[in-house]
Amino acid sequence: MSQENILVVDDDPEIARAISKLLSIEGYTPYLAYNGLEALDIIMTEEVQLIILDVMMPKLDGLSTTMKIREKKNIPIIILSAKSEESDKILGLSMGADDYITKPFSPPELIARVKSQLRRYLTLGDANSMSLEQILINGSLKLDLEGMQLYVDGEPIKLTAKELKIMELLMSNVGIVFSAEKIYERVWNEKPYAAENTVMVHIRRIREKIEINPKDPKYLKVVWGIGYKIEKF
Amino acid sequence: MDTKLKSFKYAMTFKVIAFLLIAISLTTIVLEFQYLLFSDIPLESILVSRYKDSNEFLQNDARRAIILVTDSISDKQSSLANTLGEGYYYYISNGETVITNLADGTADFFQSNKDTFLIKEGYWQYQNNTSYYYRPDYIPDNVSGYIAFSNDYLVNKQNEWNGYRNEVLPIVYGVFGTLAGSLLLLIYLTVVVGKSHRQGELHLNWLDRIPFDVLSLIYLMIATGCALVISNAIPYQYAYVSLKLTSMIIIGTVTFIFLIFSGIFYLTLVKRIKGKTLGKNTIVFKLLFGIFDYFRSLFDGRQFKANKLTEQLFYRQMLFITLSFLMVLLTFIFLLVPPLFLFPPLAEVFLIYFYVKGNRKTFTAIDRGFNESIEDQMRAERLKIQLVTNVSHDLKTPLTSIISYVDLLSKEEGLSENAMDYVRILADKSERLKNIVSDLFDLAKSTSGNIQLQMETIDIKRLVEQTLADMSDEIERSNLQFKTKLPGHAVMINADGQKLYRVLQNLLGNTLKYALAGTRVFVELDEMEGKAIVTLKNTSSYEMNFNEAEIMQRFTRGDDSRSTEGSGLGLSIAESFTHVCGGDFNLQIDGDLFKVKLTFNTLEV
Repeated sequence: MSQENILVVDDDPEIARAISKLLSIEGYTPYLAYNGLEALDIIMTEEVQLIILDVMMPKLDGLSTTMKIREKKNIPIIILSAKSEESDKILGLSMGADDYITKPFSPPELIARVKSQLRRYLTLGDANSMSLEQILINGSLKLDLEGMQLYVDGEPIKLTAKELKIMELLMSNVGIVFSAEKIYERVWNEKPYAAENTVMVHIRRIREKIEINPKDPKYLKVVWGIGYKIEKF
Repeated sequence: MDTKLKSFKYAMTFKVIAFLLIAISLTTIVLEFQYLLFSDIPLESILVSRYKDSNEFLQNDARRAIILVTDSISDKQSSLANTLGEGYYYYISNGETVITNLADGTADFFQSNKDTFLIKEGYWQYQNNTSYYYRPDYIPDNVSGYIAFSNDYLVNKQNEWNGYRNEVLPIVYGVFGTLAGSLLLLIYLTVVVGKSHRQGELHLNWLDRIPFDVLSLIYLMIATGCALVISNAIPYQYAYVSLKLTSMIIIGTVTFIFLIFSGIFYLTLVKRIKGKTLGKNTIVFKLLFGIFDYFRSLFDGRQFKANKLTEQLFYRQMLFITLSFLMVLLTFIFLLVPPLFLFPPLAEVFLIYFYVKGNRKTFTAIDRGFNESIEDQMRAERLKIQLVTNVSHDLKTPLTSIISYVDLLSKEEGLSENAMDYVRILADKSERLKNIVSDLFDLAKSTSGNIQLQMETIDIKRLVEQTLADMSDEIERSNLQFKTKLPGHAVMINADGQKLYRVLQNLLGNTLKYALAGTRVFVELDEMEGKAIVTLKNTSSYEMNFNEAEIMQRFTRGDDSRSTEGSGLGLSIAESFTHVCGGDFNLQIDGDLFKVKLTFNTLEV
């Protein structure tokens, strides 16, 4: 059913080939480019639904390429880089990339992220059109307050009542850090007792359900020594 | 036998015994002398065997007889005149009167007696001792006189004298004997002191390292003290016996103490001479040498070895001061010749000009050097960062290929059972390699100080709870009992939460891997005196036959097999991350007890 075109940009031809092979196994049509300029050429001529982009490349690097693409197109971009510092990730995402994967990556995770991005781009369409009052949206997370249902990339996720309440609290305050006690008070409506453990365990459960890689969460983050928050996208 | 004796010669016990023996002997000698002093025995009896040869005889018996006999002719009245002639025969005459106690009234008796005192050339002289001259008064030429002691009297006196000799001589021989023995022991000690065997090195102890002048001063003070005590303890000659006894005890004790100190002082002196440190190890020498050496270092270039520019500055300064001083001197001298005294100040102006100019040149050079060294440092720092980044990239790129193609290979159809097995192993190992590379670069970055930190105020108690909750699944599965002791309130510190989480995660991960099943694990947080201390204790499941330093070495694994997952960098990363967060990482191994202590400064709330 899916015949989406995916552009793979990496100056290492072996890696580019491996990724394109992985994608074609999944049924996608890969296009290959070995630097930023080639990538821009292909985007001009072909209909591409997603771009996987390396950062360190000759001629035009990944970040500049991202900026150039964003001038004209709204295609999802996944950055694939050997740079693993948090500041590198923040820089990449703020340049307009939709996701950031560090090398060496795990192939299943890459595929999962590709699927997530495509689903969001193709089936959910423009987020703004759906901004009703009863729906909270952040990135590919969508919380329907009326039906009490969380969607990730349009897929419904099964959450318990407490988990949903935590998500509701955090998603209506995106980017704000909540301490375990605060979450406990607001969700359980009780005086906090062993809050840290209880909340953390719930957070971990939620993370396992909504994150592609729970060990390196994209949305639901622990701010160590302070509290919990949902990253703004 | 011979060697046995030799080694015995250098034995410590033997030396101490010899040392004490000397002190005791010398004390005994002093006491013996004191005893002799207290008894009324004339010490002359030691040397002179015949009483009539002794000074005792000449000074007492002879003198009294001579005075009485001489006085008798010159009509001088004496209270002792009634004892005239007791124990001796005499004859004295001035040509008119003859006074004698001899029956025949002539001096013939004296011709045959060898021990006669007679007047010759105006002096009483003694036939037995030609060096004896004595006259109580001027004796006129016409007076002739003789005195000779009776045999009975002399025999009596000689017996008395012999009695003294019998009492004194054994003491004297004893004194000489002990003196000789002590001297031999002293020579022995002088030879062997400071050595434990014949060819042995000289051992200097703490006493030998005390500066000699200080030691001498201390010794002098002790000696003075002893002398004071002794001089006060000597009683006058006719004191009671009990007083004399007390005095002897006091003098004996003080002498003994003094001798001990003297002996120690002498032996350290000998050792110093042997070791050639006598002169060098004195405060005076060190002080003088220090001053001398400082001045020498100024001129032989040592002081400025590394700083050529400072050297220039110093010499210029010296020259300037000397010349300026000279100019001041000249000004005073030239005051006598009025027009000339203006020249030295003028010359001084030029001097100052060139001095300042020269200094500025040197300072500029110093500044340049300083800036260059800072730039060098920055360059080296940048190079280090680049190296880490480049190597990281160069390692990660091929690893990415490996992982990707292994994954593709696993998806390949029609592979044999064996091939599938191999691919699985490859996948496992490449995953492990990925972890190692990732850990390695985390470590490289943090140890080279190139890590990016987000320091913020965090609650370490919360962080410990979060980490424990985060790992609660593994903890529940682990068959270990976790005992946590955390304070009831928040403990705020300044740190990078993400890094600190990694520290705790690594440490707990280690515990889960290496703690003995069924044992307790203690996780504690204490706050005291502005410090937050996280302690983690567990019992190891295997014998930790390595020390703290070894386990902290990179790539050291708890088990030697190296088969389990992990990079072997966990502890190193934990330590390094603790340090970049401003904490102190302390690891202790005590038998099977493995204990890690993290210490951070708390923030005042």
